[in-house]
Amino acid sequence: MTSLTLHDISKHFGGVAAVQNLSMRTEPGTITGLIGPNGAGKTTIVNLITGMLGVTGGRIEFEGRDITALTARDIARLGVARTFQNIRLLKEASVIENVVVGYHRHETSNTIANLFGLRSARAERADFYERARKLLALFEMSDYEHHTAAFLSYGHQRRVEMMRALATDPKLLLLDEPVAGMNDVEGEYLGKIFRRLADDGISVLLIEHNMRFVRSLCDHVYVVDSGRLIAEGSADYVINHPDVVQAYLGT
Amino acid sequence: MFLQQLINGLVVGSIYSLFALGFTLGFGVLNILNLAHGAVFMASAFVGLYVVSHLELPLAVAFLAAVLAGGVLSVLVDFFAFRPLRKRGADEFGALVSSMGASLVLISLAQQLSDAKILSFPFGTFPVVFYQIGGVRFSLLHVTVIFCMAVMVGLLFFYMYRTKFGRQVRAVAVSESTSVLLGIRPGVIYFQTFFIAGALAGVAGVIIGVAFNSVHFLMGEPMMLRAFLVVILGGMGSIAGAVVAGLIIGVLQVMTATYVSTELSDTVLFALLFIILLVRPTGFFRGLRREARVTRQ
Amino acid sequence: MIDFFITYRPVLDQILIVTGLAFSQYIALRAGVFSLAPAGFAALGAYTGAVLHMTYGWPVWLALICSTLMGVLAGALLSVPLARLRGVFQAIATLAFVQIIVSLSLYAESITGGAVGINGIPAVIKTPHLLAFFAVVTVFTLIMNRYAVGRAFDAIRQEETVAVALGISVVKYQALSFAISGGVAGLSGGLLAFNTYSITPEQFGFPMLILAIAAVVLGGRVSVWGPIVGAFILTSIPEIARPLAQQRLLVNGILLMLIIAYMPMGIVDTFRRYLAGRRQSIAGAAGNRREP
Repeated sequence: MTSLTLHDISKHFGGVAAVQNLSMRTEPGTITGLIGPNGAGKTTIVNLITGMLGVTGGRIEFEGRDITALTARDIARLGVARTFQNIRLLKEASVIENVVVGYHRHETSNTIANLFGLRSARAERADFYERARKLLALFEMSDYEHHTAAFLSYGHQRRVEMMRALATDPKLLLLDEPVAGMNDVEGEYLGKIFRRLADDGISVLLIEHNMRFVRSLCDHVYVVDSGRLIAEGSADYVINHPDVVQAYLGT
Repeated sequence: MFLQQLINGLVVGSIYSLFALGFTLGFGVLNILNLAHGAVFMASAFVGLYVVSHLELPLAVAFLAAVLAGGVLSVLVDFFAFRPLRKRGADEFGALVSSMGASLVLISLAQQLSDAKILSFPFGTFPVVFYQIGGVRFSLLHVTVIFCMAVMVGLLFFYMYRTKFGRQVRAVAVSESTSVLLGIRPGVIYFQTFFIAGALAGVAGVIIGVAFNSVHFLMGEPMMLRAFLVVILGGMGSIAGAVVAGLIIGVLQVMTATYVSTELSDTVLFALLFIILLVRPTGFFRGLRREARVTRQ
Repeated sequence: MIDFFITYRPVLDQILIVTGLAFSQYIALRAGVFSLAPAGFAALGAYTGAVLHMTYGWPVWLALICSTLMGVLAGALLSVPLARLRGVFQAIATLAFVQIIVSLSLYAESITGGAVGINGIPAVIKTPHLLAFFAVVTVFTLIMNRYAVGRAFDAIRQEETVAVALGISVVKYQALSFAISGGVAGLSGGLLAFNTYSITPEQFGFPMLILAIAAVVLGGRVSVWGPIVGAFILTSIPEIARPLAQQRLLVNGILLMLIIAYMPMGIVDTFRRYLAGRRQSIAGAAGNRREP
C-alpha cells in the first residue's frame, strides 16, 4: 500500500504556476528523493503535502485517505512530520525541550490535569522526557540535553530538528534539505539514520541538492523543474537523464 | 437639521482623515504602527497655540510653525524610538512598545508644560463668519477645513504618484530589501515618510485646536482611536481609503452624538472597530501595501 | 524591622496587585497573543466584585470568585475574534477593548456610579490575603509552564508554523491563555477594589495598561520571575524616589524605550540567557571534541 500519493497536483499563485500536474508517490519503508534546480517548486510541494498551502487542483492521499482539504494541524496529527529548509527550532528553549514538544500529538492527559499538575500530566511528562533522552542518545546529543538551542552549532541544530520530527512518531517524514551545509561526515551519519528509519517502516521523502547523498540513499527519485515532473526512476537513471542534466545546467 | 449635522460630520471627518493620513502612511510604507502619532499631533497644536498667544503672530504663521514642528517631532520620534530597533532587527512588538514609550514621554512633557490645563486660542484668532444656503448654516472655518483637506490630499497624491521621491517611497512600501538593491536609501525614505506624517498631524492639530477651541495634553488619544478605525476601515496605506473612511467616521460620530448621546459616541466607535476587525479586518480599500496582512495564515 | 514593614505595607499591597496584572499580561504574551487587555479585565473584575457586594450584598469571597469568572469569560469571548488577527492588530483590538470598558464604566452610571465610581468599599483584603494570592498565582504559573500547556504556549509563541506542524491547536491554546489572563487580571481587579476603598473608571485606563505591559517588558516575558521583578521595580521606584512619582508617566515612557531597544528580553531573561551562554561555552569547549 502506498503511503503518500499526489494525483495531478497544481498550485497557482495569481498567474504564476508554481506546480503543474504533478503526480508522485512514496511507499512505506523506502526513501524517495525529490530533486530539481532551485526554484523548481520542491518546498512548495512539501508545503502542499503538509497543508500549509492549499492546492489549486488535484488530490493528495495519505494512507488511502484524501487529505487535500485538511488543515495543516489535522494532517500533522495523522502522522506527517517535516523538517524545514531554514531551521526552525524554539531558539530560547533547551535541546530536550525542543524534542519534547514533538510528543504533543501523543498527549492523552487533559488540559485540567496539565494546568494543575495532576498525576496523569506528571506521568506523561516523565514518559516524554524519558523517550526524548533515548532519542538524544541515538543522535549522540546526550551531553547537550539542557543547552539552549540558539547556541548550538548548525549541525547540532539540524539534529535537534530531526529528533523533534521523529518524536511525533511519523508515518511519513518529509525532509527539506536536511544535510545542506554539512560536511560529509555529518551527512553520512544522518544518512544512516534515515536508512534505519525507512527500515523501520517509515516513508521518507527527501528533498536534496547533494547528488551523492541522493544517490547513496534514495530508492526512487522524482525530478521537478519549474513545477513539472521531468523524470522519475532510480537515482542512477535519473542523474544521467538528458532532460535532468539540461535542467540543472541551463541551456 | 440632518443636513446641518451631515456637514458638521464631514468637516470633523476631514480632520480625522488628515490625522489618519499621516498614520496610515507610516503603516503602509514602513509597516510601523506609530502610537506616538497622537502625541505629535498634540504637541504641534501646542506649538501653534504658542505662536499665536505668546508670539502674537497671525494664524497663518502658527499654521506653518505647527506643520514644521509636527514634521520635526515625528522625525525625532523615529530617531529615538524606531531607529535603534531597526538597527537591531527588532520585531513588531518592540516597535509598538517603543512608540508607546515615546508617546508617554511627549504626553507627560506636555502635561507639565501646560500644567495639565486646557488652553485655548485667543479670541479672534479665526474670523467668525457664517454663511447660509437653504436651511444649512456653515462657517468660514468649515470651508477652510475642507479646503485644507482637499489641498493636502491633492499634494499627497501628487507627491506619491507623480514625483521621483514618491515612487521611491512606494517602492519601499512594496519591498524594502529590493529597494535597497535598486539604490534607494531607506534612511532617506524613513525621514521623508515620518516628516510628512508629522506635518499632516500638525495641520490637523492646529485645525482641531482652533475649531474646538481647546488644546490639552491628552487631545491626541481620542484621535488615535479614530486613526485605528480609519486605517482598518479604509485599508492600510491607502490615501483614498483614509479620506473616505475619515469622512464616514466623522459623520458617524456627529450623528451618534446628536441622535443618541455624546458620551456613547466613543463607545460606538470602539465597538465599530471591534466589529470590523471581526468581520473584515483587511478593510475595504487596497492601499500602498497590496498584501497587508491583518489575519494570521 | 516591624516598623519598616508597617510603614511600607500599602506599598507591598500595591506591588502584589500590580504583580497580578503583570502575570496576566505575561500569560497572554507567553502564548504569543499580543494583548494589552489586562487593565480592561481588571476593570471588569473590580466592578463586578464591588457591585455584587455593595449593591446586592453578596459576601466578599463570592464576589471575588465572580470577579475572576468575569475575567475568564471576557477572555474566552474576546479570544474568538482575536485569534484571527495578526500581532499588531491584536494590540489595537485589545487597546480598544480597554477603552470600551472605561467608556462603559463612565456611561453606565446607575450600575457603576459613573465618573464618581464606587466608594466606601470595605477594605477587607489585607496584605496576608494578597501574599496568598501572589503565591497561588506564581505556583499556578510555574505548574502551567511545566506541563503540556506551557509547552504548547512556548511553541506557538516562538515558531507558530512549527506548532501547527506538530499538531498543536493554536486557536485552542491562545483562547486558553487569554481566558487565564482574563481570570488573573479580573481577580487582581477585584482584590484592588476590596483593598482600596474606592474604584473609578480612570484607574483602569491607559496608566494601568502601560503599567502591566511595562512590568513584563522590564522584567521579562519568559521566566516566571520576569513579571515579579518588573512589577516590583515599577511600583517601588516612585516610592523610593519621591520626585519620580510625579514623573511616573515620563519615567515609564523612557524606560519602555530604553529597555526594548537595549535589553529587549527584559532584566530576568537577559540575565538567564547570559548565564546559559556562559555555562554552555564552558561545557561546549569540553564537549566539542566528541563530534561523530
